[in-house]
Parts: sequence; structure tokens; C-alpha cells
Amino acid sequence: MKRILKDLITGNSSYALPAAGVAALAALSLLNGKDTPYSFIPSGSIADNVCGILLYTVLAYCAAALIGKLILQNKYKRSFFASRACKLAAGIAFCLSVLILFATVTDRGILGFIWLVRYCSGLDSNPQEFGPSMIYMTLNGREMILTGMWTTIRIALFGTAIAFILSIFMVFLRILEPGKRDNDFVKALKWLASSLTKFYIFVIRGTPMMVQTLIFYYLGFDLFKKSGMTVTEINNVWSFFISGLFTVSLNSTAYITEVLRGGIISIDKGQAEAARSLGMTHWQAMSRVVFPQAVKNSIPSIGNEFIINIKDSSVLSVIGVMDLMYATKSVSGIYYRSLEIYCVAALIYLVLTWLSSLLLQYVGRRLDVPVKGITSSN
Amino acid sequence: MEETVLTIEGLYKSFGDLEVLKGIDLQISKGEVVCIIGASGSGKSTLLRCINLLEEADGGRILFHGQDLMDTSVDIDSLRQSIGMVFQSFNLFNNKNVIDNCTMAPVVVKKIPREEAEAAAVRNLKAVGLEDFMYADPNTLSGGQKQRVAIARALCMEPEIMLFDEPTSALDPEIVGEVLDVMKKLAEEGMTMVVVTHEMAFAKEVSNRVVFMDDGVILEQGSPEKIFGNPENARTREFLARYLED
Repeated sequence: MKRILKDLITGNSSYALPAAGVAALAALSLLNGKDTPYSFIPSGSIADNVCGILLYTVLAYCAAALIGKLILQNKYKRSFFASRACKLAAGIAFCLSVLILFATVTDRGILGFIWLVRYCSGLDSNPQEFGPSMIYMTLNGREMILTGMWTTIRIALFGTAIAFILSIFMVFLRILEPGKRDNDFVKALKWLASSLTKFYIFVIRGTPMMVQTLIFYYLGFDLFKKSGMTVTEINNVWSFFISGLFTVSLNSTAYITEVLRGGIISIDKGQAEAARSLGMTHWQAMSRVVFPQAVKNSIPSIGNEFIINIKDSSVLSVIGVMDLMYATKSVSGIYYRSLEIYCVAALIYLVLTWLSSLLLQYVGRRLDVPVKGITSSN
Repeated sequence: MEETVLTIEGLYKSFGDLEVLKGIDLQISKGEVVCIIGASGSGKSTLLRCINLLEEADGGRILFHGQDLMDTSVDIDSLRQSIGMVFQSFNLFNNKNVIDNCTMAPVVVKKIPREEAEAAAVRNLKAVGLEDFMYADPNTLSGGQKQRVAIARALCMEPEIMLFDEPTSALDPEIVGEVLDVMKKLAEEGMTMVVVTHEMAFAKEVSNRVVFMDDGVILEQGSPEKIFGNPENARTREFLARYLED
């Protein structure tokens, strides 16, 4: 990394000029953008003009070198452009354009954004422009959006954790196999437990989570109603949040059970055989040898389930769980603008999943298990 | 001969339509070292795996000190404690270090206090020359080291009989010796051993009896001198000739 930077600065690298050109182009486009009261290089100032002239010079030089390369082809390396003076010039061009790029990013980018946020927070009505409107609605709806974000995070986190615990039990039922040495009663029980979990996984994985959300919510509501509770009481116990968390947990249980089952299957049979040959029972061999390895190998997939839950918990908004999706819908309803605020929601979801996958990759590296990228949704 | 430890009578086993064992009769006495030789697919490993019920035989009897292992009322888990097994692919527990590999079963199964189990593990690891690797991750060991740990792990349960399922087949020729040396020492100490192997020199030198298996039956058995020096069966001669060529 250090070496690459050094070669770029001294102009030794053949990428110095292209990099300088790209940086100069980016800086120019920023510089030509609208300035704000916070700008330290306001449009039309001497600094602005000097930067502009320098950038155009760099661009012109880059263009000349590019044309030279196109014409000279293989002779380029022995031409005037490969002389020491030209290398020095390339290095200077690179440093100059990168420095100006930094300045313009700070000025038009960061300071510009801060100014825009300050400006939007002082507005009385939703501005017509796309960007300012995004900022205006986010600022004014921030309480709702933050509450929604927090709910989304809680549901994804607790939902995945509960599902993980439930699926540990469920996978043990799922992999039960009637053995030759079992008596008929045990055989029947094992078959029943395994079949029931198989059926559960089949149903959960084969139906949309939105339908599950509605069914679980109304089912819970009806059951509580039959027990003689009033609607107010039911709403306290069977709130949208609890019902939503219930749905996410039960949904993820099915998926994580299959993940764990895959983990168990992927452990070499010899591990269990060695344990059994030492006199361990089936249960001891599973719980002390096979299962710890299976869980460890499954951690990336379970983390992926968490990321999926961040995204898929958005369907809970159909019953009115105040998650990020519902909050966004509400903000959009208040200001009669949709595209802008849904873009904000997308950005927030993206940041949440991106941070989670970074965390997951870190954990994966520490545990020495391979981590895949974000997988498709449930 | 001394007391009989293991008696196998008319053992049958098939995988689907494939008949692997077609009526095996075999007796193992205390302190005996029996090598089972034969071509791949002759049923040697299956026979060994049937002895401690990693495979369930379809018919016949396996008597361990007179108790029929095939009887479903027998507590096979407690009987397996007395039957040590060493696998071709080592099968060390990947989630445990070397000493925990050795102490897990004694602590979990026999309920021996951890300190005692560790002392026994250290003793057995010393016996196989691996006392310096007690806290190593099994995955960092060489094949020969892994197999020696596996032997130490089996010994920690203080078995009466040890089954070796091609213990050196997965090893480089150069490190086969270190494992065979450990097994030789074990034999000299009087351990009852059943060894499925392709190491004819080992069979010749260490075993009391060599059993030649072919196509699911025992074709011939006897002292190593007899089997290697003057085999009666044509198939045995053919098999050994191919090995002695190498």
C-alpha cells in the first residue's frame, strides 16, 4: 500500500497520470457545483479560479499523454513521455489534483452537506428538490425513523437469537432416526418427532412471511379473545411488536434448523463413530463432539439469517409493527412524498446490513470459518 | 491358550444387495495379537466395525466374555468402553486439543475426576511419545502424530481389547514406522489386539495369528510362519505373492 502510494507520488507508477486525470475531473465537477455560505473556496473567488486553472492544466497534460500513448503504442516507453521530467510532472499532477480534490470534497461535499442540513432544518415546508426534500423529511420525521430503526434492530436481533435457541431443540428432533435397538414405542416417538418438525419446516419455508405475520397475529388475537380478555388487555399482551417478534422467531427457526442440520451432516461421520467407540452414548457424542463443530461452522449462515431478518422484518408493517418500514410509510403519509423518503429507508437498511456483514466477517475471521456475502432473502 | 475374550459365530452382514460378510467364525484369546489380511473389499473392516457395533450385523453372534453384543438388551455403550478402536482416518475430535481428546471419554463416560483423567492421559501420551503436544490442536499434527494420539485416546479408557482398522493406510510410508512401533510396544505389553492391516512385515513380526479373508469369508488362518511360509489355500498364495512382489 505504502509502495503504491510512493510510486504514484513520484510518478513512477504508470497509473499516476490516469489517477491524476480522474481526480482532476472529480474535483472540477465538484468545484463547478453550487457553493454555499460555508464554502472556503466560493465560486468566482481567486482560489476557485486558481484551482480551476490548475485542474484544467492537469487534464490537458493527461489528455496529451493519453493521445501520445495511443499514437506511440509500444514505443511510448522510450518516448519523451517516459523521461524523468515527464515522470516528475506526472507525480506533481497527481499530488496537485488529489490535494484539490480533498479541498473540494471538504468544501462542496462535507461543508455543503452540513449547510444543506442546517438550511433544511430551518424550512417551514417540504422543498421541491429531491435531495433537500429527503433531508427535510428525514429531519422532521427523525423520531419516528429512529424508533422504527430501533424496532427493526431489536426484532432482527431477538428474533434471530430466539430462533437459534429454538432451532437447537428442533434440529435434535429433526435428525432423530429410529434405530434397530430401540423398542417400538421409542421408534414411533422418534418417527413422529422427526416428521412433525419436517412438516413444520415445509410449511414455514413454503409460505410467505407476510402471510405468516397475519396468521400468527390474528390467531393469537382470537386465542386471547377466547380466553375472555378484553381488546385492551389483548393489545397489551399480544402487541404488534410481540406478535411480530413471534413471527420472525418462528420463521427463522425453520431456516436455522435446516442450517444446523446441514452443519451436522457436513461433520465427518468418523467424529461420531470415534466418540461412540469410546463408549459415549449417542446423545453424548452429539452434544460434545458433533454439535459444537456443527454450530461453529453454521455461525456464518446464522449471521446471514440475522441480516435477512433486518430486511424481511419490513413485512411486519402489514399488521402495524412500528418498524423502519412502517415509520417510513408514516413519514411519507405526512408529507405526501414517497420516492424521497423510501430512498432514505433503503439507505438506512443498506447501512444496517452492511455493518452487520462487516461484523459477521470479523467474527468469521476470528473463529476461522468462511463467511459468504449477503445471501438471498427468505 | 488363555481365556477367550471374543467369540464370533456365523456373522452375516450385507449392505443392501451386497453381501459383505458370509458367515464369519473367529475366536480371540486374551493377550493375542490377530492380524486380518486380505484384498480391499474382502470385508475385513466391516468385520472389525461389526465387533463394536459401529455396523450392525444381520445375523450371527458376537460374544464378549460370554455376553452377546447383538442382544438388543445389552448396554452396548458400556461394553464399548472395554473395546478400543483406532480408525484409518484417525477421527480425532476437531473441537478439542490433544489432551482433551484423551480425557473427554474417561470424564464423560466413566465419571473419572478430571485430574485423574489428565494424569492418565499424560501417561498414555508419554507412552506414544507425544507428551510435548498435549495442548496442540489436532489439525496441526502430522498423520503419524494424529494416529498416535488416537491410540493414546483409546488407551485412556483402559480397554481390554483394541481394534485397529487399517491404522497406517492413510499415512506416508516414512511415518508408518512410528505408529507400528507404538503398536508393537502395546503388543509386547500383552494387549489383546485385532489389527486389519496391509503391513505384512508387521503381521509377520508381531502377530500370534494371521487371518486371511476373501470375499466375506475367512479362507485360512494360522501362525504367521504358516500363513506366510506355507499357505494352504491357492487364493492366499495368490494374494501374498502379489504383496511380496512389491
